[in-house]
Amino acid sequence: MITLWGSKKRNNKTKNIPVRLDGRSLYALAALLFLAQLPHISHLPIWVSILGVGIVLLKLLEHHRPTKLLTTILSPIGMTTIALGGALMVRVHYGYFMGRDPCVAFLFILVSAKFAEVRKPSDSTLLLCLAGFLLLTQYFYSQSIISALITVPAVLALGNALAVIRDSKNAADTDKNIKMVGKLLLQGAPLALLLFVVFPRLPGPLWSLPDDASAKTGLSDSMAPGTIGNLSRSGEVAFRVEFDGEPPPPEQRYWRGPVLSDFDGRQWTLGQGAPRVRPTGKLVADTSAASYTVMMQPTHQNWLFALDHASSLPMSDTVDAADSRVLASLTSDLQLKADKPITQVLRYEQSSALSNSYKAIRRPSDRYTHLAGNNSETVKFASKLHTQSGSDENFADAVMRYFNQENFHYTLQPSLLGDNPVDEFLFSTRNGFCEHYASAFVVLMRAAAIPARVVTGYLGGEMNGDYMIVRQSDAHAWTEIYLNGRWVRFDPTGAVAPSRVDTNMAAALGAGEPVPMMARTGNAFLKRFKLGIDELNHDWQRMVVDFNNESQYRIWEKLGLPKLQLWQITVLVLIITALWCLAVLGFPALRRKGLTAEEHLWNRYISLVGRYGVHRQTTETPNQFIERATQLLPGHGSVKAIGDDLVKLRFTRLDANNSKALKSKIRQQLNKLYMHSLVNRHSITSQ
Amino acid sequence: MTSTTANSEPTSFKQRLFRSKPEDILPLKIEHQRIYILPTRRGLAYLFSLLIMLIASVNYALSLGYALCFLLTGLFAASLLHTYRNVAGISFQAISADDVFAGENIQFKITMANESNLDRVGVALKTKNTSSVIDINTANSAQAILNIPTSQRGIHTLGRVTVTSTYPLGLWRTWCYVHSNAKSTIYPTPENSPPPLPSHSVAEQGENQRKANQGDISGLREYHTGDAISSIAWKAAARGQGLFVKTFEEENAGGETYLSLSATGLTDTEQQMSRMAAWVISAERAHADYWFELGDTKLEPSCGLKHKRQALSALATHGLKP
Repeated sequence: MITLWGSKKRNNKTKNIPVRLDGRSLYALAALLFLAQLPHISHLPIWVSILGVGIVLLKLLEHHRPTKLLTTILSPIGMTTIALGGALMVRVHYGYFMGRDPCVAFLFILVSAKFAEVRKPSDSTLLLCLAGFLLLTQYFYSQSIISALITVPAVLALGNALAVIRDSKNAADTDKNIKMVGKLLLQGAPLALLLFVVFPRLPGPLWSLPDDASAKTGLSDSMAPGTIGNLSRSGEVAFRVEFDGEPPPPEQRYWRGPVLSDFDGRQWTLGQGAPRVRPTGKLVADTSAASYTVMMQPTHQNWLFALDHASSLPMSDTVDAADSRVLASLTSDLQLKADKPITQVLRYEQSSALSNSYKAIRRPSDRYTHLAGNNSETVKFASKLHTQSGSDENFADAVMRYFNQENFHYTLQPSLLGDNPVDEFLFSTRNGFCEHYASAFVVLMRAAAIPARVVTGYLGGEMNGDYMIVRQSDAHAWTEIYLNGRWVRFDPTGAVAPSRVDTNMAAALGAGEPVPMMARTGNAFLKRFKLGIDELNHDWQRMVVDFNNESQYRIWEKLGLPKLQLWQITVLVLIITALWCLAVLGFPALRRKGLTAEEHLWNRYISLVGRYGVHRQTTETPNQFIERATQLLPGHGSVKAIGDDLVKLRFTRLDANNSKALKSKIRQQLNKLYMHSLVNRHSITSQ
Repeated sequence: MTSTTANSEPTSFKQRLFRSKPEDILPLKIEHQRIYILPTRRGLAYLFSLLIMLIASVNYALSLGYALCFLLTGLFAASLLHTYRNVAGISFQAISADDVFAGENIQFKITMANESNLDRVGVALKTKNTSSVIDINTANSAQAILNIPTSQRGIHTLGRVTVTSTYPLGLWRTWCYVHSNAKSTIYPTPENSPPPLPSHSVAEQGENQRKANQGDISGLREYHTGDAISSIAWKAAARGQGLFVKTFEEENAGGETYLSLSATGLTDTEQQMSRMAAWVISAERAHADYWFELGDTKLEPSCGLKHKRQALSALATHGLKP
């Protein structure tokens, strides 16, 4: 029975009999659900995962050992209650509901509840749709190769579920179904690829849910002792860079991020925003320039990163320069700031002048010399040292020497600091990470009335093939002080641990420090393997995840085509789809040619005579048919003539030339008859 | 079959669309011209969720979302072709049905052949009130049986058969119409315990006649081996006209049954038909020759399958509009 249209009728008949989904359909759907839910378990709250997967398992248990309790729980009413309760709990857990994460969590529970509630195959349509959507939502969290690979069995399971619930009693075995769905997917793949390549990508979100702000990652807009140290324990990729030409040497890989100028005695913050400026040669001397493309991971914050010091605005990476957009503005303290948080992988072109200072636009305000908190010993020490040094430059150098020569330690596990963190650090604990040194250095400078500030960002980057990986473990803090009208970079960490600057953090830290594996030096097998994976991920990111309008233009360009208009793309898709249909059907027109020429002509003859209303019967021999046709169609002499020629062609031995001549004669006559039938269509039919 | 006439109507547009007239000539191969295909309800729901998925992908710029969406679109499109191909190219070889008595089921046997190298799975044949699902393996033929319940005598034409399938994924439903004029005659339901055959009254009449004209020669007929020597018309033989046998009135009338409306002694047509049908059956069972008269149908006394069928067919259609 075809079940799709007749389901309502059957409802009435079986109203009082408890209907249960048969085992085949149940397991096909459960497999789909399992594969759709699996990728979500890593990011959902644990109770959501347990609830969702638990319901599915309970339903399977109830199928085998139905008990009254289970049946009650899994009844439509029970499941509605669980879905509503789940919604409430999600709301409580997240504190809001209309956002991406709570909605995904609710969908996760809803799919399970719907599964438990499905009674017959025709009910499961909604479940299939929800499961399909759940499958898609995993990409909110990860678009890695693994995510893509996990989807394949899920799609196969979806196809299998469709095939099984279509007619569960007569459905083929699962392995046969999977094979069949696999075949369908492979046949559909060219079409899918075509659509993926040509489907126009709309820029920007159509809407954004109000509470979509995800956890911010990377550097933040404030820095206290421990902030950067914590960040450094992560081996996550912050961004990847492709250089036009040689990458700069390690000691020039200062990637500038948030510049922190306000200090409350413990914590550094942005303070009031610096004004926007236009990047010009006046600001940055064109000493040695680097231009490069950055592929930044989403941070949900506004900063873009550039090597010190940015000499251009970050431009979107486009083929056609005219399409390129400015992605962020430059502030007078040379931060690159986007208008909106970076929520997607961002690819931008940037150039920098590699220098350790730049010309200040105006005299720094009092903010840069303001000191807060009780760090009196530091102030005393600074004024003493400043007097001894004679000039600001000498003073800064003296402080650097002080860090270098005194017993300071560079460590990821510094001693905890109390109420006077700078005093305690400088004169008692003397161990710290870059933020301790940067903070202390700036406080010392300010104590001597030298304008100074903390710059956070990344220092370093590791080449992997033709691109550079900058990780969170490269996060760093350094300082800038105002000397002779220029802002000059001082990196006190370099004075303590020089290898931090010219190699990396792991080289600068002692053994036993909790350095993330990917930040370690050396070429351990696992690291090489992981770098290989990163390269794969990088290519995946570039070619698949970041596929956008630009990638499309690049493809047209490679093919030597101009930018295609929407209608041109539509026509292209239609043409290719038509060809694809023929290909999947096995080119029926070509296959017909598998008939011999004689058979083909004979078939044409039969169908043509059929147009005149004389149809061949199965029992008739060719001769009988020709005779009957001749009698019934007295007005058409050629019917007899062609028929006789066909019989001659078929049943007598002819040499190649004669046979060819006869065939072309028959063909001509058939064409004539065909034309006649077309022209006299009306009179034939109204006889 | 109407195929033998050269001036058969052309297939009009309407006929091509709905096949509302029984004009299909067997064997008939289902070609693409008569195949329809539309998404099922589940197919529409699937499409709708694809749309939602696409919107989500656009909004969040999910490249893999696009990829999943298009992969499922490819699946949808490929399943269209497979659904279509599941029905295209099946050929209807024959449709036949035996005659039945009202109340029994007519079994239309539909023989279909699959000459292609694809198995056809779950092909459903449907009429207004019945359906049947079959698989036809590659290079094979199969017979579908449509059981049609009957309640009244008459002639049942199979009518338009819808050939439909949702294989493989149930996302598309393809269908086509085949309308041949295959028929089955529905005989009246025979009366349950009918009165004995009306031979008695007819025989009485004959006996009276015989009493009046005993030995009357009603005619001559050609001699067949086995005829009694005494009955040979020797006078005619002597004239050299060949061997003839005298036939007597009594030979025609003796022990024969005469079935007619008046013999039933009933007034209601349906009851009359039922009784006559019952008589035909009991006469046949007894291998007795019987006259049969009903309206324009007058059958010489005989017995056997052909005779029975003629009689019952006449009963099936008597008084009904053709």
